[in-house]
Amino acid sequence: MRSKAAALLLLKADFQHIINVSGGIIAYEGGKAFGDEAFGMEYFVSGNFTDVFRMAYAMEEGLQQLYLLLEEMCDDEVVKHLLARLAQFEEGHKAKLETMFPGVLDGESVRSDALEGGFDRQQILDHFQARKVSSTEVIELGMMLETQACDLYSRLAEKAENDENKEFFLFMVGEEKQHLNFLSREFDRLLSS
Amino acid sequence: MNWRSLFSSESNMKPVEVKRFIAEHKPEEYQLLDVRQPKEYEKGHIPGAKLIPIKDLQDRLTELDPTKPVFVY
Repeated sequence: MRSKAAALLLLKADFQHIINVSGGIIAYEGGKAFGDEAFGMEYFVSGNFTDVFRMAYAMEEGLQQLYLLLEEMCDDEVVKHLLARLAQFEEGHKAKLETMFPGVLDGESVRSDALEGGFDRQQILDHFQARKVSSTEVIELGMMLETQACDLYSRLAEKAENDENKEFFLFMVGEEKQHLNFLSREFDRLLSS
Repeated sequence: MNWRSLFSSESNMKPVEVKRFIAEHKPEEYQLLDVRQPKEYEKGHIPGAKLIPIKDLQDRLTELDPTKPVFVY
C-alpha cells in the first residue's frame, strides 16, 4: 500500500522508471483507484470556496466513517481500539477545520462516499470484507490515504482558481503532513510493542 | 536493456525477479527505495536500499535520481 502511494508520488515528480516490488507489503489490488493527474479532483469541480471547503471536510468525514465501519467488522480488540483512536483523530481534524473556518458549513450536514485522496470507500471495505484486519494494515491504509490526500491537495493548490482556494489547499497539505506524522508515530508504537 | 520500452511509467515486479535484476546489473544502474518505517528497515531490507519513510518522501525527492529506475517497496 505504501509503496503504491510512493510510486504515485514518484510518477508525479517525473521519475522515468518506477517498479513496485510486489508482495511483502499487503497485496492491495485496488490498482485502478490510483489514477492520473486529475485523480480525485473531480470532487472539487466547483471553484467556489464553500464547496471546496465542504468537500475537504467531507473527505475527513469519509475517512472517519471508514475507520468506524472497519471497527464494526473487526473482532480483534487491539485493532478495534486502534480504529476507534484513528476515528477519534479524524473527529479532531473536522473540529479543527470548523474552528479555522467558522460558519462555512453553515449547519448543513456533509455526507459523501469520498475519502481523503479521492478513494472510494466501498472499494476499500470490499477489500477488507471477510478478512482479518491487522493493526499494521489499518495504519498502512491510513498512511496510503493521507499520502494520497497530501498529493491531491498539492495538485489542487497548483491549479487553484483563486488565492483563497490556493491558500486553503496549501493549508490542507500541511494538515495532511501532520496526519501522516501522527500515523508514523502510531506505526512506531506498534513496532515497539 | 531498453528501460524506456519496458517501463513507460510504473510496473510491478516480484521479489524474485528483482533479485535477478540486482544480480545482473551494477548498483549505479538502479535505485532501491524503502518507504517503510525505520524500525521495519532495521529488521531487514534489500541490501543497498535507501530508506525514506513515506511521510518524508515528498520533501526528499531530490535525494533520488529521476532518470534511473527506482524499485520501491
